[in-house]
Amino acid sequence: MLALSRILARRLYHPSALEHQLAHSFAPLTYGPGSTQFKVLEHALNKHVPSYGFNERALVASLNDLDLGPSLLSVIGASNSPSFLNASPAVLELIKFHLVTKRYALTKELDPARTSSPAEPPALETLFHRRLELNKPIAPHLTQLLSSLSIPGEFLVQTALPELHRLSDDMVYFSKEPDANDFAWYSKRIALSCAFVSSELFMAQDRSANYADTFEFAAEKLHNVSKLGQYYNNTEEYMWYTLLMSVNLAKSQLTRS
Amino acid sequence: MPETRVQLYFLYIYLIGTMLGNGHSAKRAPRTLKRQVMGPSKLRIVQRQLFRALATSVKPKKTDVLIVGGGPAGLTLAAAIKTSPYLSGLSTTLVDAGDLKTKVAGFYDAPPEKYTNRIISLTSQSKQFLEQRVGVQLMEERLQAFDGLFVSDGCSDAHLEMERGSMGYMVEILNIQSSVLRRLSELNASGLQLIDQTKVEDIRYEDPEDHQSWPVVSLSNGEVYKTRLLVGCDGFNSPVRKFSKIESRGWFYNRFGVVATMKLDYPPFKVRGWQRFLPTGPIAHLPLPGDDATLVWSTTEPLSRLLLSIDPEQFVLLVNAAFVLEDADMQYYYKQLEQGSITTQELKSDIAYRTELVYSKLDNDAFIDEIYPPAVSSIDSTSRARFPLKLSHADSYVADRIALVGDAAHTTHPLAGQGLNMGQGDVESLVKALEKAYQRGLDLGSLLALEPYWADRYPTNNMLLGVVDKLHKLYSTDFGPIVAARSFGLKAIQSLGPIKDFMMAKVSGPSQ
Repeated sequence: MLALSRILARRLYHPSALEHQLAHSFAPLTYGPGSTQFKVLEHALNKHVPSYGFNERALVASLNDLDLGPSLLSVIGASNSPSFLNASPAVLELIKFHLVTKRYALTKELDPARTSSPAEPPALETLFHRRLELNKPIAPHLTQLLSSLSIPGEFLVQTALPELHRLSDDMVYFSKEPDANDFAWYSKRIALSCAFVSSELFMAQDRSANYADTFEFAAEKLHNVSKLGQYYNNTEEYMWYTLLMSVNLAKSQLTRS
Repeated sequence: MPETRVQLYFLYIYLIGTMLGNGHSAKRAPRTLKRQVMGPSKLRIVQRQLFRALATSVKPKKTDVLIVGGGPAGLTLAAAIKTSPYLSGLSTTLVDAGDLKTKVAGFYDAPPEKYTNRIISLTSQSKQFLEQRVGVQLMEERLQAFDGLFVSDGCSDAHLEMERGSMGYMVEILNIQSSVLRRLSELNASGLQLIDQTKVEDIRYEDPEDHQSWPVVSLSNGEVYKTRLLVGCDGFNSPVRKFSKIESRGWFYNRFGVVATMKLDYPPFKVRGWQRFLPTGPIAHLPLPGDDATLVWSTTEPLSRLLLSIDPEQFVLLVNAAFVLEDADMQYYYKQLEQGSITTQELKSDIAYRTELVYSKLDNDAFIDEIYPPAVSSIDSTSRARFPLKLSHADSYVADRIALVGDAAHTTHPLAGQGLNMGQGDVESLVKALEKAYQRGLDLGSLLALEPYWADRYPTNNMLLGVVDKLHKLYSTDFGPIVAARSFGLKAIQSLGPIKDFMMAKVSGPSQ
């Protein structure tokens, strides 16, 4: 009986890979910079994606460069389930790798956990700008990247959206932007995510020299976000003030008797 | 208790050590002290502790009213108490950190030739109170009555012309202060004590458990006062308000007021105030005697810094341009000046050209003097200064044995020129409340005596703060539909006499 229950428990309990992983510095990636996956993906992202785009050709070319067999493709994609529109799990991993490593690259000098002498926190605009700069090498393939990211399915829910919000969270956290601890915390991050996605969409279509138009567009988007935030705060402040002053006014008149 | 005594013992040893100049003990003593006292400046803390220890041993002097702050509100209150038929017997003490007795009082006898830059508008109500009730004789030759106000919108051609004889007076704050001081010295009242160049170090209730006990106020000159009523006239960062634990609410406008005293090309043919609401904030050009005038330009923080840093000549050009040209032109000039890519000569000719364009659109050249202020020829560049604008309003003006008056209770945007007048209104009301309480035999520090003052002033001040705040909000945008709506409103008021009269009556009292 006991043996049976143990077998059942083992069968029914599906471990989550993340729970059993050592903490890596590139969470949610389940492998560190020393691993083969990391080397292949990094090589592909830097060498072949700029020319081939986010597809299996880039990965296979990297595997060949690194003298690894093409069967490693399935290893690389192992942590992703096949997508709804049958995108290759290995390509999804490549996209995830791009999102995560670029996010970490953004805050490398700012995170006290990763550098002994963290730099002065920059302005939110600077971080936003820097993240878009990091997109430059792969900008011709942004359309493809964004469409893969927005395919409804597990990848969108498990990776694409969380990564986007982690990015905006990091941008607020590591900049000198004052942060709120009420509902504005959410509003700010959502607004920032929206601004980032629309800037990426703009960049995908941008043909101007050195993406100057994109950066201009992004600056304006961000300006709108901060203006919206100001409206929000001012309104809240004003409502509180009015409420409290009405109470005080009533109190002051109640002393007449 | 024994613990404090031991601490005191240490302090004495330390102080004796330093006084003797004995290097050895002076070096060692702080190390033992370090464990007891934390913080950057040990000596200061030690002094303060010693002072506190002494303070409890000094026998406090008793006073009926202790006024903290010798600004216009505090001084007027002292004078109003001393000239009141009921209250003049109260022993009154006024404490101020500045140099009242020589510097401020000396202004009356030997005023400087130039006007100082702290100039306010005094409504005829406030002036009447000062002159008739308190008996103050202001320095008439240094104040200017104005007969109206010309208000225009920086984003449209809407304007409002308010005309009324002696609508208000432009007065230097020093004029008011020194005139009230003169009145006080003339009164030579017994039981009035002015203590200047002295700060309030500490306030506590005599019995910390009992808030109806008398507040004990320790001063930086070592004196200690025990007062029946403590009045805070000590401005925006009021220590008295902090002691009373009355919250103050409001916000900073993220705008700065830039002030300057100016010389005009010629004395104005119509003595009135000019105010134009630019999207960055209102600019006001107000008359002083002769060909002098004063400026209050509310603007954004970066622009206020720019305005203070540019050449006085460029500043003059911008002031003249701000009343005539459109906001787009002004923004262009700000940008060019910020980058340093325009010379004074270029700025001058560009502004002259654009001004001429605007003038040429008028039907009649005679309108120029009607709708634009007289041109400024130069400014006194040492008078340029800026201050942050904010709105604040205390939850209450009174607590047990405490009253707040003037800026300690409320601060406002200067666009309606109401700040000082609200303080004068407070003084008038507080004195009335105290007189009534005196007649009824109440304890003057009790809430029962003070609450009528709060009840009387709170609605008025709340209304004025609200109106000024809404005007600021309404005019700080250049959003088309709002500009159209407010221009329509301004034109409507302009053409409706009774409404105009009602507004003027609200701001500057019933017509004479």
